[in-house]
Amino acid sequence: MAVEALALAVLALMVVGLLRSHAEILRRLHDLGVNLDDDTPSPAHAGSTHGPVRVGPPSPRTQGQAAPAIVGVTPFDEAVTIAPASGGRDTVLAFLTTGCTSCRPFWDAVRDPATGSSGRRMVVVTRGPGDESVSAARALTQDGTDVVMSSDAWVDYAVPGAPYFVHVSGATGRVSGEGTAQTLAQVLELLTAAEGDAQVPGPWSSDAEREAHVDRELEAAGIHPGDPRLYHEPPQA
Amino acid sequence: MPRLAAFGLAVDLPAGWEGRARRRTPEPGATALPILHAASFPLPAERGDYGGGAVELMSADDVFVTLFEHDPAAAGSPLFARPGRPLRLPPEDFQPNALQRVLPGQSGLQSFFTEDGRAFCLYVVLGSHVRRFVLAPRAEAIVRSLAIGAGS
Repeated sequence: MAVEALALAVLALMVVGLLRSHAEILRRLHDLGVNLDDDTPSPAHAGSTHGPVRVGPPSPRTQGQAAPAIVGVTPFDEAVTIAPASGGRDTVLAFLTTGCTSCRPFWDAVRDPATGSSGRRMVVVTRGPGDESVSAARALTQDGTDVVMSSDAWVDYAVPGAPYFVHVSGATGRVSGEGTAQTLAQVLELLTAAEGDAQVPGPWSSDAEREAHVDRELEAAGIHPGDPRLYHEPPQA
Repeated sequence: MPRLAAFGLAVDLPAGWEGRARRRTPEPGATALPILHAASFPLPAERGDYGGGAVELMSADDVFVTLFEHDPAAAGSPLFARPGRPLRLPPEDFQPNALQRVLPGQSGLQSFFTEDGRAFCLYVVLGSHVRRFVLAPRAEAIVRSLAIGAGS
């Protein structure tokens, strides 16, 4: 009797442990934007009351990364090489699949001429023809929509799942924001905010870094070491 | 350096350059032959064979290159008698009146040749005729990097 009770207790402990481990895996996948159930959008992507999530400055994966060229084909068999910062124009790369339910509103939005991209170029990037339905991509592509099928681009930009958006600054040619949200309008709005945040100096990781920044600012203003203005109050008007 | 390769054509694209290559819609009964575009600015998804829809977007610093394949039966004919692509594109060869679509300030060059048994028209647009001495060498570098092999 006692042995059976002990065995039951051990089994119960093992089941609880497995459930906790499973829940932790699901939670982490969800945080990465991966939805294991294609027909059931995650709360962050569906029409829930939750706010937009995970659009911000570049992740450590892409921080400061020069935006790689996107080499692939269109759904209509055109070979394409796209330079995301070409012509100094900001570009939004929309990583979408043809199968995920949560991607569908974004396909509709990029095809809608009324959707303003605030002067940015919009390029939809699906996985390559070997990993994606070409006929479905054709059906979702409208005249004038820039769609490139390239699995390499998903690897190059370390895309964690779809839908996912990467903003490339035309001025620097580098990734300046990334993430996802519920609607394309939110994505564009939040990428703009993220880009603005990226231009605000700091926070500093060390006093030396802050000091170096102050030195650069002073030098730019024509104030060099030993300048009397560093030691005296400016004369009162 | 990114490389665009398709239909027996390939080109090296410097940073910031884009390229696209597709088969043109053929006349009934004809073979679908390729066309390659390379540009120093974002190429729109919709554009004409000679750059209509794209050349209008060029700045004075931009260059647009088209390689347009004609029927192989035309290879070696008088129009395509030149053996191989022009490896030099002298600035003085660019003329505003050589443009397929005349846009103020732009300049163009057109050359017909046969290479590897294939007949081609090379068409280059510079964003500024005044700046042709700066822009022509950029176009020339693209043309030199072209690789033309057997068609597919």
